[in-house]
Formats: sequence, structure tokens, C-alpha cells
Amino acid sequence: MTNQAPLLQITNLHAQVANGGQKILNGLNLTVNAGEIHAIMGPNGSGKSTLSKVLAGHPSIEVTAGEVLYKGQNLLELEPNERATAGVFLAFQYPIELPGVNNTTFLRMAYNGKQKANDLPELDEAGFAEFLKTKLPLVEMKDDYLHRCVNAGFSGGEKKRNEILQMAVLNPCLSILDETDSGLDIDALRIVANGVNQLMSADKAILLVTHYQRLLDYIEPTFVHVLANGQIVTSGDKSLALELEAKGYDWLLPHPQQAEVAV
Amino acid sequence: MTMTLTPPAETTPVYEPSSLDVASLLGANLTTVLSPFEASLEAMLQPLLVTGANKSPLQQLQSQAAERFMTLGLPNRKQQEAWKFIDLKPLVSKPLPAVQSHLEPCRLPYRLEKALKLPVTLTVCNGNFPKNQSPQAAAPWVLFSQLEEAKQADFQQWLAGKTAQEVDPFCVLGRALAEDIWTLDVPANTALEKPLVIYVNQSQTSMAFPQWAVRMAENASATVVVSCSSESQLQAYIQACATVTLAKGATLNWVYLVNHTAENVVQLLNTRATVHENAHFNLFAVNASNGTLLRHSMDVDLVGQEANATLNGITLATGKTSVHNHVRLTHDAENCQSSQIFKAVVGDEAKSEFDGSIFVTTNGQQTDAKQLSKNMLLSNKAKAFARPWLKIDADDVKCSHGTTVGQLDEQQVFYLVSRGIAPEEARHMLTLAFVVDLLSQLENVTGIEALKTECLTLFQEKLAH
Amino acid sequence: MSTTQTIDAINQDYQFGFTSAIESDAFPKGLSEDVVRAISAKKGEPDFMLDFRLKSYHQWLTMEPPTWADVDYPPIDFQDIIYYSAPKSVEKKQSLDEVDPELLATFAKLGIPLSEQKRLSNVAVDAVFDSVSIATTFKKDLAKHGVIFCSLTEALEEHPELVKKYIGTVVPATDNYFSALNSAVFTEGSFVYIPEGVTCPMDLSTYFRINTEGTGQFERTLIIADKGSKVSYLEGCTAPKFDSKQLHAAVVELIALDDAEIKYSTVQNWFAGDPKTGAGGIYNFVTKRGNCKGNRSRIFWTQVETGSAITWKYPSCILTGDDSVGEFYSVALTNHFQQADTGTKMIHLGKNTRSRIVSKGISAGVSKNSYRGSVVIKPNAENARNFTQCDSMLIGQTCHANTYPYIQVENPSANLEHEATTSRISEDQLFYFQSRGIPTEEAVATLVSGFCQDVFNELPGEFAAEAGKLLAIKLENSVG
Repeated sequence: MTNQAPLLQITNLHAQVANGGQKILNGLNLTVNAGEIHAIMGPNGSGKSTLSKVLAGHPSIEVTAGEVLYKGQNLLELEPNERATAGVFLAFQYPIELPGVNNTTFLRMAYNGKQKANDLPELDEAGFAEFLKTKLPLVEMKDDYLHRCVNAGFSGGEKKRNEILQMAVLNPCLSILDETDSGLDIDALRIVANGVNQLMSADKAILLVTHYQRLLDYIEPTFVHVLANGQIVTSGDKSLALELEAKGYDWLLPHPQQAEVAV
Repeated sequence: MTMTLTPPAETTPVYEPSSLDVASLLGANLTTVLSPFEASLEAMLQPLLVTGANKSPLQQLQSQAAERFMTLGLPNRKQQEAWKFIDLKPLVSKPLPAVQSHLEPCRLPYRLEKALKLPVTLTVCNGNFPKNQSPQAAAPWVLFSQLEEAKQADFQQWLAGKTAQEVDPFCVLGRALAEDIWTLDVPANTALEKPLVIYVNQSQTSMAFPQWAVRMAENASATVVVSCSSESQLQAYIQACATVTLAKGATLNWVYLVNHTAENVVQLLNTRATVHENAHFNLFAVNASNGTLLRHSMDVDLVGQEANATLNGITLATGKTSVHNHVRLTHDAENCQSSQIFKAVVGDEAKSEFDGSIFVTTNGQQTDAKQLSKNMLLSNKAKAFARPWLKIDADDVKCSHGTTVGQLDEQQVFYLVSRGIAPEEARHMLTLAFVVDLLSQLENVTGIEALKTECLTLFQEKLAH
Repeated sequence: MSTTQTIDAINQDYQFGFTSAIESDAFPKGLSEDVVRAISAKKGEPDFMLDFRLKSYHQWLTMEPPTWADVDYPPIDFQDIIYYSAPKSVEKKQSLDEVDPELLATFAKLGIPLSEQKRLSNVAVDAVFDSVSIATTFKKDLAKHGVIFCSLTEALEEHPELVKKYIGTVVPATDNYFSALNSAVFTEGSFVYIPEGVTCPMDLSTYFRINTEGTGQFERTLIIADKGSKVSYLEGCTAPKFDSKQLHAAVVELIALDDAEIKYSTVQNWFAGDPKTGAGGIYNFVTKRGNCKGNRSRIFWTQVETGSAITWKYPSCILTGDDSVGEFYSVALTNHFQQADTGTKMIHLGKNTRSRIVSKGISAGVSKNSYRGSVVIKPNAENARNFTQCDSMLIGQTCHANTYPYIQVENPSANLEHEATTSRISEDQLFYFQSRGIPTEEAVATLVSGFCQDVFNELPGEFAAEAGKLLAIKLENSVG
């Protein structure tokens, strides 16, 4: 695809719950190039959300070993806000409600923060309002969302659409969508997937963390990886996802008792 | 009456008011050595306590208030629950500052004037009564001493009654020491077109005893914004009292904006409101003061059917500021509604106390009373105290109160940071978010909509400081 | 009579009383240092106990009765109280059949399964009758597990070192007026020690009963749960009807060491006074406090307070150990002329300490019902959590319901939530029941029981259903 350095390169990543908690990632390796969409699948508790948190720099997870390079730069050294301004975006599985924080103010603050960090011109209120108007149709959102507080009182679907709107505004190089399909009805799923597809381009990459195949009907992955016990246990193309849908995860996981029977 | 379970171990020395001997203040026993504070207080009260004929109605009010003060004495922290958490040392550990006799022009920028695009109706500078601001269309305040005779009698009777019932010694002390009382008498069916803006400013070490007596006749309406501020490097004691009565169907919006940049400021505020049938009293108190002590005591009596009171307070306390909001709200008639929301953001070594009581008398059937106190602590040495009390003697009531104490939600901070916003900025944003919904209520008052933005700016400046 | 003469008279009474008291049922009325000494001597106590009593007595003399509670009563004449009264036979009874049948009948009426058979099948009982412990059942079975459950008098004889180590450590003699009085003159109570790692094999229970007119009841309970142990303790109280007021000033101290758990449940139904005149009834002035001394220790208070003319009671927790938990569940019902000022104190000292308060107050008649609760988060109590819910229900237009919370937070990592509501049983609700054929009394009982459900759920076993019935009985005829 490209001869440049990978957009994201994860090598032998070990991570645990902060302050000596449970070990979750046990030597994970993953390379993501520009233009690729990677689906990370796996059973509950396999470490999918932990991987998302590590990439975004969530303080609840502690990296104990390994390396994460983003555009050749050590991502783990960056503060969470620096990662964001550098172009890493996490769409949260459970977007938090921020009562009292106006949606537009918040979006503009984030947008201008990124512009400023990259020595690009910032937008004033009027200019940003114009800019925002062009992004709303992407997630089929009405104007009135903008006057509300961030996610406060939003339905599950509205929250996820709001995440994708933020993605549209911030235009990240690497987007991590953590279970973005969970809690969505079929219409909302279609809207969210459309938005994501339109935001994808050859110089960007997406990491789709998902439990189910159905999102992949809408967003076609370049690769599918199965995460189990904190490692990628198998990888393949989109057909792997269909196989998982049919057979479940069990056949990929070690089962000592069954092994004995087989012997 | 005291209401302690077990007094907590005192870490700071307790002020012992017993040393203020009433007899010595009256001059009966001058052999007792008075503290400098007591001596200065005595010097001011002495002339008022002299009995004699030919006192003007105003002087009669002052003497009565001085006598009432002598009866009440200074509060005892150990015995009076309301004063338990209030350290009066900043006030009583030194003599009272002198009353400035001449008017030093205030250099403070009139931010409100600019923000609200409203002329300042009244300026009280260093405690001086600007006598030249007498009756005119633009300034509807009239000094009590300049009221026509019939009205003087009316006002005197009303205020004398209030003095006799008053239990807060500082409230009556302010009335005793005030040179005059501003009166606002809004006639029936009259709506004051523009909000009245009052400045209480200190530009030098001084005392101020601003007193307001507001009488709203039937269906009258008005909005008053009082801004209290002072410049740095001065010492001030401000004892203010607004006495308010609202007749049937009247509405009064009263906004306090306290923002002293000086630290050595003690401000004790009293609001006393009587709300009759169908009248609405809305109080909004914003405090972003650096002053060492601020107490706002609010007594509101709902005495007519369907009377309504809304009391909102926002406090941003930093440094060593100590802020105390004390509410006594009485439902003494049927079908009245009240709502109280007090929010406090407490940082550094600051202290915030909310002491709010709702009383529902046997007359208060169908009461609907809500009270909420929310506190956010920003630092290790910040403290929050709350006593949300209900005393209910009627059975058909809906009363609820809630208190929360918490801190910034780190998950929320992370969400903002993950979008590229610097952690410090994210914290400020969320701190402001904690109070912004309440500030938005200012937007519902005609003429002062811009106050919300002004307050937000003020908070932002203070947080960034 | 002059003061000196009075003292002389008391002294004489004492000298006479002391020698004859062995045979006699009760001391004469009155309180003096000699009475304190006599109580101690009568019980053959070790010296440290007498010292404790005397110190407490002298402290008490310097104290004033508390006035801050929202209750009204005429001053108590402490010289008009009998401080020691024992039933004629002081021998331990081995079966509750031998205990006052009226007591059993009372509980039978309330549906509380005190019948020998049922009781002995699951609960060990220490019955305190006036001032003396009558019967402690199941002592031997408990001993197999190393559990000590006996009267405080026996404990002083057999385990003085344990009593000495813990008594007065949670409620110091000087704590308050009534605890000082109790510390001077307490006559009986229960003692429980659960050894390390033992889960007490059955619920322990004490029934208190005041039986003699003019007697004060000053029992004292001390429960120690050693590391990793667990115990559930039930307390029930009754008194027959007398026209004069009677004082009950008890002290309960709980100590939970590392990982220990104590659950203390009370169903209090002392005589409330005459419903029509308010005459008689018990002054229930009780100090109950637990110290979560060890890390991860837990103390749960559950109380159903339905009796007494005046209740003044704040079962509290001092959360000393890190990660310790204190909970308080209370139903306080006042009817007719009753007054209750009750609640709790949660004092957070250790890190990650959690407390929970659920209080349900029901007032009817001309009664007064006040919740008074304090939550204190001290500067070192990192990450403390408190949740408080206190609800009041008013029945009728002449009752009073007050809520007096005190919140004091001195650590920014604290999270505290306090909620309170006041409601009533509306005519519409009652009509709705009636229209479905349900009589008013039953409707009230159902609504009240629903209102109290959160607290009843915390009561052990059958107590929950019984508490509901008890409330229904207390509320008979309260709705017109």
C-alpha cells in the first residue's frame, strides 16, 4: 500500500489496571498503515477496550512493557491532549455526559486547540458555526444538538452520533472506535457507519473495536483480528468476521479439557 | 437554642464573646478593659443609647436598633448553631475602621454598567450617603430622612416592627449605625422599566452600613442589582441590610454580586423579605469575593397564599475566604412555593457553609418547597459544611432537600483532554459547568440577561488567577 | 431538710440498705456516691470497675442535661429513681418458660416468635429483667465456638481483662450527660466476644424489660468482634404500663477489629405513655456507638423505634479503620404524644471509608418526630463516601416532622449525597384503596410498610414481617 512508516505500530504491549491491578494486555503486536481499517474483535474481557484506553492515554491503565509508535513517534510519551492534537481520536464506548458544557463551545475549543497545536488558523464563533454546519449532515444531526450540553440527556444513539461529529470536526489521522455499534438501532447504525465511511481516506486509518459482525456490514475492514487473553490470537480478512459470527470465539480459545478428550 | 450533637474539637481558637460586657458598653462599669473592637463599638453606640426627647423618626429607629443590639449581644459560637462555623476574628480582633467623612472618588471600573448597558442608579462609596442623589425620575431611591411625613411614619412603623423581631445582632447593629436608609416605594401596578443598579464600593479603609427598605405595592415589579466591591490593600467592614415587603401580586428580583479584590474585608449581608399573596421574591446572590468573611443571612416569610420565593446562590471561594449562606424560609400560608439552589466551588483554604432551614407552619398546607446545596471541593484544605433542615408542622406538604459534596469528575476531565483540551483548561471548563446552569437563570430576568456572561467572565478570571 | 441532712439520710439508707439488700429486691430511691459504691459492691466488681463508676459519677455531677434535642419534658428528679432492682429470684433460669409469661404474651401479640421452641431453635437469648440478667440460653453451644455471650456481671467475673480493655473506649464516661449517668450506675447488660475468624453460629438476642414502677433501667452492652469475625445481634425492649415516667439510659458499645462485622438490630417498643393523656411512658435516652476500629470492618445498625414517650438516640459509627463501612437503617414511628429525636453520626477518619444512612420517620397524632444526623469527613479520610436518605411521612394535621442533618466535609476527595423528602398519606391514596375494597387501616399499614421497606429489608429473618405488623398496631385508629 505505502512505503511510509506505519501510522500505528504496537510492539509487545503489556498493560494492567493502574496501581498494580489485573494484567490485561500480554504482549500485543499490531501494525496499522494509512488507508487501512482494522477490526479488533474478541470475547468480553479479552482486552479490546483496554487497548483503546491505552492508545488514548486513559489514566486507569498502566503500560508495563512494550512500545507504541504513532507516525514513528512514541505515542506513550504524549499526554492525552497531545495525542488528540496530534491526530489520535477515541470514540468512547460510553461517552460521558458533561452537564453545563455547551456542545458548540466544547467543539470549538477542541478544534481551535488542535489548530493552534499545529500552527493553523483558529476559527472565531461565527466562522466555526459556518464550519460546523457543513459537518452536521454527516451524522444527520439537527442544529439544536449544538445548543445542548455535551451528551447530557442524549439517547444512546445521539451520544454515538455526537462522537462521530467530533471525529468529523477534529479530522483525526487515527480513529479508534470503541464498540461504537453497541446500543444502536439499525437506523442509527447506518447513520454512524455512513459518517465514518465518509471521513475515511487514504491518509487515515481506523481501528474498529467491536463485539459483533454487524458493524462490519457497513464499514468494510481491511483486516480482522481476534483478541483473546490480551494478545491477538488470529488475523484474517473480512471473511474471518463472518466465520466468527457463525462459530463464535470458543474454537479460537484454548480449552484444556477438550484437548484431553481429543488425545 | 443550640443544636449540636457533640461539638467538634476546635482547632482554631474560639472567639469568646463573653468579654463583651453589656454593662460596660452602657457605661455602667468602665473599669473593665475593653478590647479595641469593643471600645470602638462602644464609642459609636454610646450616643445612640442616650435617652432624650425630640428624636427624629430616623433617630428613633437607630436608638431602637442600638438597644436591640445591646439586648442580643454578640453571637456566641459555642451556644448558637448559626454562628458555630463562623470565625468572627477578622472583625473583632481589631478596632472598627473609621467612617470616612469625605467622599473619595471610586476608581473601580464600572464593569456592570458596561456589561449591562445600564446607568448606575446609586453609588455608596466608603459608606457615604450621597445626599445629592435625591428624588428624581432616574433614581427612584429616596432617603428615609427625606421622605414626606406620612410615609416616614409608615416606614418607621414597619422597620421598628422588624427591628423588634430581629435576632441577628449584626443586622440591628447595621441599622443602628447607618446614617440613613434608602427607601424604594414602588406604587401599585407599576413596573420599573429598567433594573436599578447599586454600587457599594470601598476605595479606602472604611465601614459601610447600607440599608435598603423596599416596599412593593400590589402588582408592582422591579429588578435591583447590587454590586459590592473593593480595591486591594484596604480594610473594610460592610454591614448591609435589605428589608423588603411585597404586596399581592408584586415581583422583586434582587441580585447581589459580591466581588472584593481586597482580602481584609468582612461583609455581613442581611435580606429580610415578607412575601404576600401571589407575590414573587427572587434573590440571586453571586459571590466571587476575596474578602476574608462573607455571611449572607436570608430570612424570607411567605405569608400570603401562593406566595413564591426563589433563592439562588453561587459561591466561588478561594484563598482563605469563608462564605456562609444562611437561609430561614418560612411557609406560613397555603399553596406557597419556594426553591433554593446554592452551589459552591471551594478551592485553596476556603470554607463554604450552607445553613438552610425550611419551616412549614400549620398554615402552610400544600407547601411545595425545594432546597438543594451542591458543593465542589477543589483542594485539600477546602472545607464544606451544610445543614439543610426541615421543620414541618403541616401534613399536606411536598418538601425535599438535597446536599452533595464532591469534586471534579476525572472521567469528565479525561473526556475533554482526549479531545485535545489542556487539563488545566478542562478543569476550569468543568468547574464553570458546575455553576452555569444556575447562572442561566439570570437570563430569565429582563434587563440583566448579560449578567450571566459577566459572571462567567468573572469566575474564569478568578479561576485562572 | 437541709442538704447535709439529706446526705445523712441517704447514707443511713445506704448503710441499712447495703446490709439488707442481699435479701431485698431493690435499693431505696436516690443517687449518691454511696449508691454507686453499693451497686458495685453488690455485684462484687473488681476495683477498676468501681473506679470507672466513681469517675463517671463525679463527672456527671458537673454536667447539664442536653437541651439541643427537639424534645420537651420536665426536669428529671434523679433522686426519685430506684437505681437497683432485682426480681425476687435472682437465680438464672434455664428456660424462657420460667420467664414472665406476660412478656411472652406481649411478643406473641406482636407476632414476634419468642415462643421457647421457635426461639431456641435459632436464637440465643439473654433476657434482662429490670436490672438483672435472667436467663442466657445456648451458652454452652456458643462456647464450643469460643463465643462468649453472657451478662456483663458474669463477664466481669470470668473475663475481667476483656471488659477492662474495651469498656468506655467507644462511649467514654464523659461523652454526654446520660452516658455518664449510665457509666456510674449501670446494673446489667450483655457482653459478647466473638473470637478471631469465627462467624457466630446463631443470632444473639437480648430482651429488656422494665417491670418495677419507679425503676430506672441502666443497662450496658459491650460487643467485641475480633479479627475476621461476624455476629448479628438483636435487641428487643418492652415495659408494662405505669402512670409515671421511667428513665431508660442505656449505653451500647461495639468494637469491630480488622475484617469483622457486627450487625445490631433493635425493635424498641417501650411503653409510650397513655394515648389519650400522654401520662407515663419511658424516657429512652440511649447512647449507642460502634467503632470500626479495624481495617475493612463493618458495623450495621438497624432500628425500629416505635415505643417510648421520648426517644433520644443516635446509634453511630466511628470509621477509624481504612476501608471500613458504617450503615444505619432506621424506622422511627411516633403517635399520640410521643417525641422522638433520633438519627446517627458517621465520623469518617480512615481512608476509603463508606457510610450509608436510610431513615424513615412516621409521625401521627400530636407527636413530634425529628431526624438528626451528622456526617463528618475528617481531613485524613481520603475517598470517603456517604449516602444519606431521610424521608418523613406525616399522618394527620397535628403532628410534626423535622429533619436536622449536619454535614461537615474537610477532605476534597469525599463524595457525599444527602436526600430528604417529606410526604403524607393522601386522602386520594386511601380512597383508591377503599374503592378496591381495602379498609383504611389496612391501606395505611400497607403504605407505611412500603415506605419503610428499605429498612425492613435490613432486619434479620422474620423480624422484617414482624416490624410491619408492629407498626400497624401502633398506628391503629390514627386515620379518622
